[in-house]
Amino acid sequence: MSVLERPAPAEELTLLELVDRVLTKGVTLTGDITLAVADVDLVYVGLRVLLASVPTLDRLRDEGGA
Amino acid sequence: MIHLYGFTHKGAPVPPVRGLDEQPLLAVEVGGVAAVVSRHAALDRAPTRAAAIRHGEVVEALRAEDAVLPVRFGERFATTDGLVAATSRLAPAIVDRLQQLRGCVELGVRVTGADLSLAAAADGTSYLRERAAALARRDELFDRLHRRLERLACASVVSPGDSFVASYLVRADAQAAFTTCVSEFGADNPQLTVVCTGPWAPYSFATFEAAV
Repeated sequence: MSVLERPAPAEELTLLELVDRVLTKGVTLTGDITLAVADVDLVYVGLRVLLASVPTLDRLRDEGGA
Repeated sequence: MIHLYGFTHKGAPVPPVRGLDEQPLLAVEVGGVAAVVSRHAALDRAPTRAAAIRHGEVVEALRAEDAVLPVRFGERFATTDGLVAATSRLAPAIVDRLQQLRGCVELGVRVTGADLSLAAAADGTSYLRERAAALARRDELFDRLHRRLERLACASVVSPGDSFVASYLVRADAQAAFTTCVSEFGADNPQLTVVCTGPWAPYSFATFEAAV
């Protein structure tokens, strides 16, 4: 699915930011946590793509409404 | 198996949401602290993004009830005794930290798109000089934003990197002023993508060393 087909980029960005915090921040009691999350690489790729796409989405929205 | 989401004050309400695998939340009290957990017959060794999101949703539900100290996804214990042993040593520090964080939220700010493109340089030295100047302009822009936001926050963490990625601990009553400041910076710099997210539980400030 391309970035422009995403139904709700703001909601997706919120989830990506949440996952970033959950996986990399917060209290640790037992030392470094090395639990592997199966699709974590996709999370970070998705975050970069989405951030890069925000101005494009805004521009397209403006052009569509003009 | 016990999955740990976060710490709250002893006696704080446990929200009526479900944890991983739709299991109910429980509070295990240790000293003045409540460790909010769910119990499981087994847990995935390689959990998915959906599980991480559920962990985050539980933490946000805890934040809605009272001050919360989020725990990083992946803290698991075989028995309640193991959880109690790991928590009891830190319980007094956790109580203090919860008190400091009460009434505060975390807001995230990301800025991308700072233009580092350079005109064709006459030689290598000119290129390096122009690139250094472009980097300095970018850093000055990021510094200007950070200085403005820092004044509205109790604490901040700026991540190293080419983009501006920072988290701010903000009192709830300063949240509107903070987001307005971010919006104004974005309006003044339309070449940049400026994103503010939150409010979040204070993940970036859930340490015992950071000062509020």
